[in-house]
Amino acid sequence: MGGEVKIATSPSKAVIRKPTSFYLRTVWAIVWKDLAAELRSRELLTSMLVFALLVILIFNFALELDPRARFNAASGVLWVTFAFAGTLGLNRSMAMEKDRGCLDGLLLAPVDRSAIFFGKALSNLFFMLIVEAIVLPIYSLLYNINLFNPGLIAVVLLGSIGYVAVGTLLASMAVQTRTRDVLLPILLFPIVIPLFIAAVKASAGFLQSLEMSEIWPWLNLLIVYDLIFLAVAFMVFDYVVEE
Amino acid sequence: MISGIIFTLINPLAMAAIFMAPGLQEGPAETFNYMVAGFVVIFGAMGLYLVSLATRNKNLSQDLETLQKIDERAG
Amino acid sequence: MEAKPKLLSILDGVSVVMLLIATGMVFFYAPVEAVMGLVQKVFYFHVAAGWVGMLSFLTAAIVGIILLRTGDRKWDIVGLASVELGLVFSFINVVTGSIWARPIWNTWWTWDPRLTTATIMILIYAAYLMLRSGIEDPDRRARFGAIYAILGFLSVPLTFFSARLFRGIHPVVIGSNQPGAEGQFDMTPLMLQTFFFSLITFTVIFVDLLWHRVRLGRLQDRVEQLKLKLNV
Repeated sequence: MGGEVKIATSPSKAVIRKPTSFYLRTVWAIVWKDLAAELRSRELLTSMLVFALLVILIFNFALELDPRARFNAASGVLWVTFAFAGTLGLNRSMAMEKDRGCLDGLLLAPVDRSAIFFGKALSNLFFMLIVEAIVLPIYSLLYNINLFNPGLIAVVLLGSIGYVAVGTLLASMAVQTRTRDVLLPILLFPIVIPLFIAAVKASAGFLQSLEMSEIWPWLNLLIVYDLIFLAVAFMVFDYVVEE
Repeated sequence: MISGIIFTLINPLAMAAIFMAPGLQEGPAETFNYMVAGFVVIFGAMGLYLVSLATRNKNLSQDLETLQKIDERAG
Repeated sequence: MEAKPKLLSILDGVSVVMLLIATGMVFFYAPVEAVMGLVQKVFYFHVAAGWVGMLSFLTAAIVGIILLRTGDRKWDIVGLASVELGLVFSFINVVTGSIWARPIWNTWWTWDPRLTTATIMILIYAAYLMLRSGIEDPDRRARFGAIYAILGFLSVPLTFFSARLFRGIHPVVIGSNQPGAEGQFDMTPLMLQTFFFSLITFTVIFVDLLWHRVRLGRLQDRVEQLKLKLNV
């Protein structure tokens, strides 16, 4: 990625010379690195997927999902599954960077730090969407509910964006602590509660085909949450990776 | 359920029935014990925090003294 | 240890006197509420504690922004101090609320928006303390704490809003017009005076305690630095 930038003494200079394209190429390089690594090992996606299916299985017996309850609880069960599997993926993806010294390497590169954040967040989002894309049809199949609803898919997308934005930031903090394996969910869950509530209610609204006027408040909440936390994560990420 | 209770509160006949019921003639509900519990929590928590501040302060002051003595002896 | 400033001693005295007056007002000045009875007296300090809790967490977030801007670690001491105080007062707020709810709502606990938000707030700041305890490097601890305090405080209004879209039964006593909230009452002038005096009192107590806690933090810092210097 250093083609255009011959001597980059500081990240800001590198960005000034080739503003957008360099930034985007940095983001893309990080996403590509993660995808290539995952394609080879497949450990992240496999563990997230198996875990997600296990959660659904446990819910089935824990809640004794009879046809009626199954329909009402569907959106809640789905989002709990996504949240748990998401934490697993976020933790693993940042821990890999840390353990293999990749994070230090990335930080030495003459790139804007926030590009690293967006790169990591995008690849995390990508993994999460893949898991969701597999879980949704399996869930439909197992419980005989039609989950192919454009509204529901939009909610899943909006919810995942916010979750991953906060999650990537907090995971990069959590992996730098002594108690990193247990810390991420404790840090993440209380902060994503509004997102979670909105996502569950909006999904339920679409599944029960409520009026759009009843769903919009939740969608607005999701959008506001995404915007606020993306902006804040972008602003503070520098301080997370500062040495 | 809530609307039922409110209706009871608004309805003068129902109110009269409530206040004429034995044990409720005084008017306000008998909630003395709850009040006591509430104030125990309020003053208890603040008191405990003050105690914790004082103990921590004392321990740290002692540590500081010891450390300063070691520091003087060392050079 | 630095000598105790005179202003702080004065503030100590003022806090104690104001708390005594406020307690006196609650018990002897404000009338007994006609329906709920004596338990309503908890309300004055319940709201005041909730207000101080919010104020503490707001302080922690603002101090966090200043810390990230300046990189000066003295702000971290203030941040930690206000989070600790916020937890104490939020705890008082939630527990007294629960005690009040038992006779009035006939339950210790409901998933009312304010109750839920206050509880989630406590969880957020408990997580803040856990995050800090896992980091040894003081500069990193300060930065991470600041970031988390900012994120946490941003999520609080969103949590409240989302919990409110679920129906709530909490009485809105100030500027109220919410029919159906159980435990609602109109404050008489004497009650209002007591209420505002309690708010001011708790704010003064907050400033006083914050000052003490910051001094404690500074002392802790000195001990730690001396330990590092002496290698013990």
